[in-house]
Amino acid sequence: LAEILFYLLALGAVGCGVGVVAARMPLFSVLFLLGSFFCLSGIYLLAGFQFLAATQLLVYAGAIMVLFLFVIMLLNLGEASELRRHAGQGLTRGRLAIAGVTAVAMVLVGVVSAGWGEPHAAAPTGEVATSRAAHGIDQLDAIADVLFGRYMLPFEAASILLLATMIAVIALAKRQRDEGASHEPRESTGWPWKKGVEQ
Amino acid sequence: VSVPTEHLYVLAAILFGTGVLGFLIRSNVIIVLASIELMLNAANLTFVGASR
Repeated sequence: LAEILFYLLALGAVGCGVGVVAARMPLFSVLFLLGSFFCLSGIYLLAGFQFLAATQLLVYAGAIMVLFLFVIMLLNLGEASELRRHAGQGLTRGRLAIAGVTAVAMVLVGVVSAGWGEPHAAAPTGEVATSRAAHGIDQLDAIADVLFGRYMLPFEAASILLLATMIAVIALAKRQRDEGASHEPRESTGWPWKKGVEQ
Repeated sequence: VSVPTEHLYVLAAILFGTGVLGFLIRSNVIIVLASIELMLNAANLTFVGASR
């Protein structure tokens, strides 16, 4: 039953991934991405990674999705065309070839390395997964042990780095806004039909 | 779950290829960012498969 569930979730993840690429509006694309995240979270749960599944739901579906939706709804990107890249639009054969070659090469590398590395090392026995699933709390304990014990210093350094990045972004955005406010009246007098009036 | 690890890798590769395709062919910045997120999730799935 779990295998059927896995393949259903995998199909859902791939379908939502295709939807992300094929959606016409960014809002639908982001909602498809949300569906893909949920399917992947279910796959993590089936594979016995409860903490990773919960983190996936909290961080991706909670934080990043809210960020995307805020950006879309605040900037009103339904049909806006300001945020468009100028270079390269459309589905050319070269781009399709690049994506296809990437996917096929990754599949080949994965299968070949799994098959050639050690015989039957890649196929996990069911006991490992079930024992890991049975001791989900121990798994969380192990993560906390490593994160707050051995890697305490990098963890805190990463938090300080994130704080510095946040302050820098606020400072940059504030400076840009101040400059824009000071330049705006000058630019408004710079219209071609107002020049004649002033002069 | 007795799903072979190769299938996890194949799923991750398909998701990564979809992300690359979206990154290359779409012009909207939001969709390009969503494609990058898709690729990052495929990488996470690869780590999960390697960790089993």
